[in-house]
Amino acid sequence: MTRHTWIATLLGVVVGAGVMLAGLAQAGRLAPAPRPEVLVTLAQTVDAEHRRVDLLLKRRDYAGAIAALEQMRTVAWPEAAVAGDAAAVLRHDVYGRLVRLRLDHPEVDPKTPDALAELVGEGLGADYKAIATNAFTARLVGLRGEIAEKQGRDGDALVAYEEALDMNRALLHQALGSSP
Amino acid sequence: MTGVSGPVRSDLFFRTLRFRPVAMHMSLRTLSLALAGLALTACAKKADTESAPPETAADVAAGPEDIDALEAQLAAREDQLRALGAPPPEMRMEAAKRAEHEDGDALAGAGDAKTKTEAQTAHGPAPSSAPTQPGTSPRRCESVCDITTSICQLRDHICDLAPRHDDEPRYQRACERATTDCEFATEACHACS
Repeated sequence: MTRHTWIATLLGVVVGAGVMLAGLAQAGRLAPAPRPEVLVTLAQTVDAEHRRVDLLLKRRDYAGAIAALEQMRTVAWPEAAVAGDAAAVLRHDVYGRLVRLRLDHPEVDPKTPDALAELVGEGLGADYKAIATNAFTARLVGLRGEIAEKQGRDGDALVAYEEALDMNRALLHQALGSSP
Repeated sequence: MTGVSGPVRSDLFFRTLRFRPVAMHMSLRTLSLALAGLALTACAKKADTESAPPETAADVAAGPEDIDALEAQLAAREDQLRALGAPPPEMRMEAAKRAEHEDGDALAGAGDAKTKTEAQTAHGPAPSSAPTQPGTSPRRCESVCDITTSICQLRDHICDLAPRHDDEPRYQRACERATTDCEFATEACHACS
């Protein structure tokens, strides 16, 4: 076998493997495959918890509602690799509701603005900007602004509000079927 | 499976390679073609997956004749939609009511009516310049008005910051922009409903 033939063979293998990898990547096989059953289970859990919180709020049991949502923080939220970005959106919904309640009812188990900022950061996660624009993430980002204001960081508050505004603007144009 | 990638088999592999170069060459070409074929299959499979609705345990369990099963199936679908960030309109309505309820509590608690937005308070006729959508559904309108509420609340927050920072024009600019957004969204909401 000549050197030329070897190179051709090697090239064939590399090109073949490359095409296969590209195909698999496009098919979503190499990307972390989301597991719908995990997502549905998570969604059902979150939905049940929201209903429980609804009932608690109806009874004006704010402490109970906050405790229930705090309990959700202990859930092992699945990674995007397992349940896709939708899992992060569900998390943003839960954290958004919790932070809203904590801001509106500071008398219940009071938290410092720094602790609330930490809570928002935990809920948003590091890569929330990579998630498709949605109302739940926008709300949590807006809440980050409110907390920054409480921390006396108006500059950061403005940045967060504008970020949330941008998201909502995009959502509005999406709903209207127009371009921003 | 065990031993396939072990040293003995590797040695055998290279010996085979050394003594049967033509056959190896052929098999590598075949492998390349097979890999390319696999890639195409994977792409085709993806297209199938995307066009088909996702299945759930409820789908499998529920027969179309049973109303309870259908309801369970519907609930599962709603969960799926909700999970994917696109809750069904009923859920959005519930969420909006929930948010209103919570906001209402907040307003009652704080005694602050300022966060009540234009979208919630204004009830005039729809301006002719408002962006309208032919065949706009109530669901879409609900969504537009929910977003309007959020935009106008953000406008309130931003414009509250501006007076504290007279010397920094970016606050004023942000307030003006947010006000424009709020007005546009409010018009859209009114035109819709």
